Amino acid sequence: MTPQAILFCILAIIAIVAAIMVIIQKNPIKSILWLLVVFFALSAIYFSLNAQFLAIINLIVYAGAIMVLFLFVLMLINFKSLETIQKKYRFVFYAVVIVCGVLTLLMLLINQTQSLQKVSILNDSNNVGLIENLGKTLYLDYGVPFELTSILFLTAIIGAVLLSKIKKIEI
Amino acid sequence: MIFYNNFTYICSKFRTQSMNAILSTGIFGILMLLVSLFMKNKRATHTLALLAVMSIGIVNYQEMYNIVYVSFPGNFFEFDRFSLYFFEILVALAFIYIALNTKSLEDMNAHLAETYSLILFSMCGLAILCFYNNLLSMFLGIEMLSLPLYILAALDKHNLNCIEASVKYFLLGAFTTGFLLLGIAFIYGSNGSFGISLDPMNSSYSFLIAAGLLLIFISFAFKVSAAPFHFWAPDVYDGAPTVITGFMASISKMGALYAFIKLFLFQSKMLGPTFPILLSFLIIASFIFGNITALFQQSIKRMLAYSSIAQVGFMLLILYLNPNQFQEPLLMYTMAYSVANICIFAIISKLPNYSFQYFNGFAKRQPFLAFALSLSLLSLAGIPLTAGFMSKFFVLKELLLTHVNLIWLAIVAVLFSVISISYYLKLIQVMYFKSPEDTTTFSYQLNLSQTFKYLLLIICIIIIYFGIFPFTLFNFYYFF
Repeated sequence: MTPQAILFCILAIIAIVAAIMVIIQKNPIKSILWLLVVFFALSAIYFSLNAQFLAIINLIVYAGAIMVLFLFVLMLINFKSLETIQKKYRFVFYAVVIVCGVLTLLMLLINQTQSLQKVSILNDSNNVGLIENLGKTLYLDYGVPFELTSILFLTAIIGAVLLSKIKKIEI
Repeated sequence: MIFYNNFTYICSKFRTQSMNAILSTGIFGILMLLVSLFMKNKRATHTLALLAVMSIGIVNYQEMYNIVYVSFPGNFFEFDRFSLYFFEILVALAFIYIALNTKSLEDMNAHLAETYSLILFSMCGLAILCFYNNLLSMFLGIEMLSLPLYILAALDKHNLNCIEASVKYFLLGAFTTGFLLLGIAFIYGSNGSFGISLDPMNSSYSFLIAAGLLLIFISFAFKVSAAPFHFWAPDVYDGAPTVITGFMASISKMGALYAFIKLFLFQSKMLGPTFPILLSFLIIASFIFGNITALFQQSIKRMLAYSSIAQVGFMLLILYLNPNQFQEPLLMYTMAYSVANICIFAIISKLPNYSFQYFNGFAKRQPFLAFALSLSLLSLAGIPLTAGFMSKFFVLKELLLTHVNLIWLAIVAVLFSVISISYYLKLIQVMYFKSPEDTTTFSYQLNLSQTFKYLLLIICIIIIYFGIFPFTLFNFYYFF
């Protein structure tokens, strides 16, 4: 086993254990903190795959923004009432079936595609995750969709303003 | 110098392409926003929106004759003649929609110019969906089509039903977007590119591609509300403001359907022999859920929502056709279905409630509205001499010309459209042959402008004209 593989195994085990802890914790705050551990472990895996930019973005967006959002929502609602919710074992069977199905599908897919490395997306595979390469790809090859995305974001901004505005103004 | 080098790099790598329609829709949407700062006159805002849609139509028309204003490098879009013509028809439908609904849009208690700009952004998504040549731009188009619709569905924000509809639509839409992205990721992983021309011979990862296409299929079936994925449609159509439902049920649905057809008509071979079976399951489920549930609805809006699910089943029959013969049925269906739905929703958005009781004796109170409503309903049902009949006729004709062994599916389709006639006729019967039970419903006065009535008259003429001379719709596509 290469050191890289050992590192990956450790990180993967941390991520899986933390993900299980997210589900079995009864206190929502604790399960959110476990989710934070999952994100950190995933970011570390991205780092080990030489995708630095993705790792940092993952930390900033998920561990930073979205976790804070989760925590705020939980603080705002009365989460004491959530603890009294009885666990429903009715759907566990269906959940197990679905999860096993998806897992089998993914295993089959991975089994079919052992030699995925043949498809090289960037020639310079050493620096594949560096922000320089990302920028080049984004602005040169995917310039037009990138610019069009601005309209998407503009729509989201307009929507947020329209829906959260309380006072009614003519036109 | 660096900039110049980059530019020559881009130009050498891709052929340039023009984006008249896509850019103009986006620009006009932003223009509507900016103008609303200075212009407080509602009439002027309506006029500006109509002018914007009209100029999008003109710019798109010019592109058919290679008059191009701006061009960009890249191979994300393909501007073939049929896509341009299809988008031209969508723009024309949007023009009719806005012209009919100016008053209802104004009464929605929302900011008018922003509403128009959201509609224009949604049309920008439609334009991308018409011209996409790439899974990436397809994804962008779908998001740009649906994001404004989530917001538009919640515009009447003091109405709890609206909020519920919008949240439901947004959550389910975001969930299926996840499916779409996973599918695109699978295909990208096996191909190494976002291109939509998948070659089964060339690729050694056909299993991965099939899994990806299946996920994309599911998310598209959700977007056009085909049957096992239709559960959002009745609630959203019922809860959203009626004007907006008119847009969602007609124009945006046809755009999504064209994107669906464009991808799967050419790539269905990758899914192997299971694809026709999968498709027939989807179609028959749409017929059953749509038609049978529509029979028992008490509200007109819910009835129309279920009937639109049934109509989608019919439209999906187009996916069985060959790539060189899907054009005529699709054009005809788009025209007939959208015009009828725009007309129906424009009329019922003027009414105070949508129960069948309200329509008791409607023909005596509003003879012309009742006539236009019945004509549109007959067109949806597919009665001869209306455009709806021609659309169903062309779909079945091309289907039987291509696959004689699919005659059972054609028979099922005809049987279910016979069932559909019963609930369309129920409304007509209520309007013409029942007398109102209580007089309180009379007290509500409809204030209809003269323009509204003339536009309805034009729509009636369109429905009957294309029912008698359907080929005028294709003549332009073939001969000009």
